[in-house]
Amino acid sequence: MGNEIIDEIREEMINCQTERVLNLVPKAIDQGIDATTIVNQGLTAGIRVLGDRFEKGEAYLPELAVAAETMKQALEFLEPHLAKSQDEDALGTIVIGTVQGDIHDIGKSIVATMLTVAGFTVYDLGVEVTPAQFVSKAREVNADIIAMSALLTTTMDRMQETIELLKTEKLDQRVKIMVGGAPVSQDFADSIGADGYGVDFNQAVKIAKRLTGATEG
Amino acid sequence: MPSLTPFQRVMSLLRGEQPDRVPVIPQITYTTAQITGVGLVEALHSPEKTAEALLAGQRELGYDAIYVGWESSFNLLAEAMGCTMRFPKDSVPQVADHIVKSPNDIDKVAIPDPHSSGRLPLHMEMVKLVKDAVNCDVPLFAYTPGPFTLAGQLAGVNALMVATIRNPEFVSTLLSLTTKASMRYALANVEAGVNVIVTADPTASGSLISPKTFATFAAPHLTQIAKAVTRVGSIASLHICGKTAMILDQMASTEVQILELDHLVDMQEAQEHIGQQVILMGNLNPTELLLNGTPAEVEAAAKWCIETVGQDGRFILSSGCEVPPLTPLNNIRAMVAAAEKYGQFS
Repeated sequence: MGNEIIDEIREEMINCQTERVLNLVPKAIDQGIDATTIVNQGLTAGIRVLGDRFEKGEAYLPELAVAAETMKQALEFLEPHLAKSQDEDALGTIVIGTVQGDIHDIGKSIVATMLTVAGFTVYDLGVEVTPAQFVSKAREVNADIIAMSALLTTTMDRMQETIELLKTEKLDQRVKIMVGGAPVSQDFADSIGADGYGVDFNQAVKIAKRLTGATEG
Repeated sequence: MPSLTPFQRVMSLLRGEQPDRVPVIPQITYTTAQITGVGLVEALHSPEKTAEALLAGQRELGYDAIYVGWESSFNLLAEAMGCTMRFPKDSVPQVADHIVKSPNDIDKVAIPDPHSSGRLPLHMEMVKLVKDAVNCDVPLFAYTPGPFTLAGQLAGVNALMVATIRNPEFVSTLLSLTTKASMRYALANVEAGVNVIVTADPTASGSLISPKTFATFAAPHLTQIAKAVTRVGSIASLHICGKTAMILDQMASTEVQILELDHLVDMQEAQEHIGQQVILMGNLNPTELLLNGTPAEVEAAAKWCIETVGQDGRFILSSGCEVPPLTPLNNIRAMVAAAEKYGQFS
């Protein structure tokens, strides 16, 4: 009962049919379907399918970018309906950004989308984020994780500066650090004292869950 | 037999003849700052210092061509077309604000003049200095932006990706502008003495867009540039990093003579598929191997490449992508030495 329209929303997300999704969402609300269900089983489920296909090389960035845009638009409509239940189920809070000196946005944004989809509350600070910005936002929102991305060998060293600042501010016991980006490796992550490294967004989600205790190992 | 000059070696290979050995051409630009001690940022504003470093790199390390470039060509063009740039203290400039925010903005953007727009004149001056110094002994390679990648710089990559689905006409209009801009810049480089024009189109990588999107929005424009370059007697090369196995056929069909392949591509498979159509260039891993590896590891990987795909004289040993700034020079020396040791044609 009522699941038909949810299935339709999911399928139209996968097909990048923004207008159809935006038409279906208010109808679903009218049918009395819970907003959280629409987000989780409709919108998010659709993006997740695209995300999996992207990993396998069966879907590409344009589809993912359109789905993320559609999600954003749908959430604007759903926000008042969602307000009551928000944050209750969140797995944890993550502050994410591309480090200072680096304007590479794509990979970081995909990871931010997929972390949101997985159930985290995500604050995306964008690109060129300074260590001070990472740390002060993490303090402000009581973050569990700071996630940093760098696409340049010249900027990846900025990750360590954030870790140092976190120590100076005595937040390093509370806030975990995860890093990613093309030039970053597990060895590099270990050498700067990061808590986790993800080679792609699936890994990033797994590591975020591990660091927040949402899953074991 | 007196040994060939780098120019003779490379041109002989491109003509389909067999030179003395496999040419070795790492994609190296600002890494050469290590040799002259010029600051990476300082060089951005000095054609003399950039030229000096690029020349010193080839002289000291002995590779077979010079990439006349420093920062990426798509940044230079984006700036010349009106994007606001940010100039970090210790790194190359980056686009801070996109000039094309809606389809209406396209009319505001003019095709830049390589001799007067933005910092393009500094680049042209640097090319002239390098050309005067090497005369005809060392071939020059210069990048020009792939139209799809330049469109991403002007409009923002995410917006461009969304528009390929939601507003394809807008993307096509933007691409015809970026194609003209890239072509004009490429031809100015040829006029200044560049021998090989390398169209760099990383945003059109198979890691990001589908073969179908590539066929619609990238391939036709890349072909236009290659045709324009070969028409004036220059050599056209295509550089797309990331995963490109799915689009190798399309890339080879853009009428270029050289394909520069990233380390994510299996060279052996590439050779089997398109080795008759184009000269392959690649593909040592720039970070894992050249930046973080040892000379012995570089030698082993270079040897494998040469022995696997270099035997029939249709291969240039190179890095898979741009060589990172702090790469140990001994790793580049090991790469050149490997070409000399294992790449001799009998």
